Amino acid sequence: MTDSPAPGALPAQPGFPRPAPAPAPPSEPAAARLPDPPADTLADNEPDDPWPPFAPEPSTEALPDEIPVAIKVPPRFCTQCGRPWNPAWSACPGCAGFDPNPTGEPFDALSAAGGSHGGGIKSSLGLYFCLLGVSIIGTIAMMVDSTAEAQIEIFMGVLFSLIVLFWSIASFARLKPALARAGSPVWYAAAIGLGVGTFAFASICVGGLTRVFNVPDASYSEPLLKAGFGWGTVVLLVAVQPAIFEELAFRGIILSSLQDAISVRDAVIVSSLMFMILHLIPLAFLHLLAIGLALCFLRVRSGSLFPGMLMHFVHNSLCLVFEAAKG
Amino acid sequence: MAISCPHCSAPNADAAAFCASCGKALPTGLSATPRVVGSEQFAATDAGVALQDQTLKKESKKAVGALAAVAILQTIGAIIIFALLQNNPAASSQAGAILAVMLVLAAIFAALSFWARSSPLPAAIVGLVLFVTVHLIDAVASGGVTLAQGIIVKIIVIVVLIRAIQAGVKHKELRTRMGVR
Repeated sequence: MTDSPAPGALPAQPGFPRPAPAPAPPSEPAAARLPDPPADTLADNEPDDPWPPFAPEPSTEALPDEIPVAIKVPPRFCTQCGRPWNPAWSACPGCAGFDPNPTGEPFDALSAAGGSHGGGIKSSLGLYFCLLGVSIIGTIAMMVDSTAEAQIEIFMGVLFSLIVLFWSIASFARLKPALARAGSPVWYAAAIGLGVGTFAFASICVGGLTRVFNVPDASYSEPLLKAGFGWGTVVLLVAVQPAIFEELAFRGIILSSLQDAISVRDAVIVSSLMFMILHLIPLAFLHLLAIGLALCFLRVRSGSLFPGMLMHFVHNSLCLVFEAAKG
Repeated sequence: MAISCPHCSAPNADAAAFCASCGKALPTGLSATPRVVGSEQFAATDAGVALQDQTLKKESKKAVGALAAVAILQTIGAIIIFALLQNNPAASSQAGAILAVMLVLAAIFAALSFWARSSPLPAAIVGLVLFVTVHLIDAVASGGVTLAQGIIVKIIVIVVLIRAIQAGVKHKELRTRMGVR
């Protein structure tokens, strides 16, 4: 595993040779052999024994040859030197790398934990870059014809939704648990509270930053209303569409794919950062990160996607309500 | 063929000297004498932990190095672009702002490199996402002018970041294999 042993490594131990198939009958008296390793000491020296007590199967004589022994029972002791065995090992560090299980397949903690981690990362990065592509197309379209802002917004919303929809169908197995659960009503109350809270935080952030950097306040509804679309379209595009499809994408597919590879905490941070970066508005990064973390909190704690959708809807609707009130 | 342990009757591989289930000696008729292992020689020793640590650090260092390299490149790029813009009277008014943005990016990559010491995989993913997004948007916003600038460096950085993710995946898989939480 490593080139040089660490200081204080185990004393070099002359590993005894791999035993040849035993010609002697196994009926040798037990007393002629070395005494058994003290089972009590083994137990006493392993206070956090990670293995459950082993229950031997009653019928072992009739064990078929083709079933590897190690797959049925992960080894608890090295079969070559008798040291306690960590199921995560593929070779014993105590006796110079003997396979504990020469005839069976080695017990592999990685395959037991669900195999390689690469797939989840590819899937989450794939979806992220597809959605980034939508934003890039939108930005280019806006540069080509800045008068058609409303039409481009609608086109981007539809394209975003279609990509997420197809991706969701393709990886429905991943989304199913979060869609099958509704979550306790407590989380819906929390979602409304968090939606109002993040809106207040976002208003303070945007108000402060637009004043500091002296940039005009962006409006979601204005371009659409100017182009002759009604409030129905505005609500659909600004409040409903993001609530459903951004949740499916970020808290559904991306968060759970990342969880294949990294811990829940890291997956929450990474998916929130992706959510933040994809909005492409540096002035909004602070409150977008807060919103992303709050939505991940709801998703992870409630086990369902719906409280997050409600919170996202509440937040975006409040933006529209205040824009409507301002005129 | 499996031997069943005379002590606990668990099935064992043919060549086993000790029972994989209870650790007691098996009647294999070996001439070599199995050793009784004392508590001071147990496998999960400090030395074993140190070996695992070394192996893990090797992988995480790749991600740390990649992200640190991006931070340094970003700083160098910021200085070069600042110098170029200052000599260009048409754009010198923006030079300060562009320098600030690029230095902030360099600082973010330095922070990601620091995060990679403990969590190489998430840090490398965020690094790739950030780098690609920023440079694509920059290219589009400039009407494609900046896309070709330093394109080779950009591609190399993307390859390096993908490698950092691969190192992070390996780090994570090693951790799983070793049973490190």
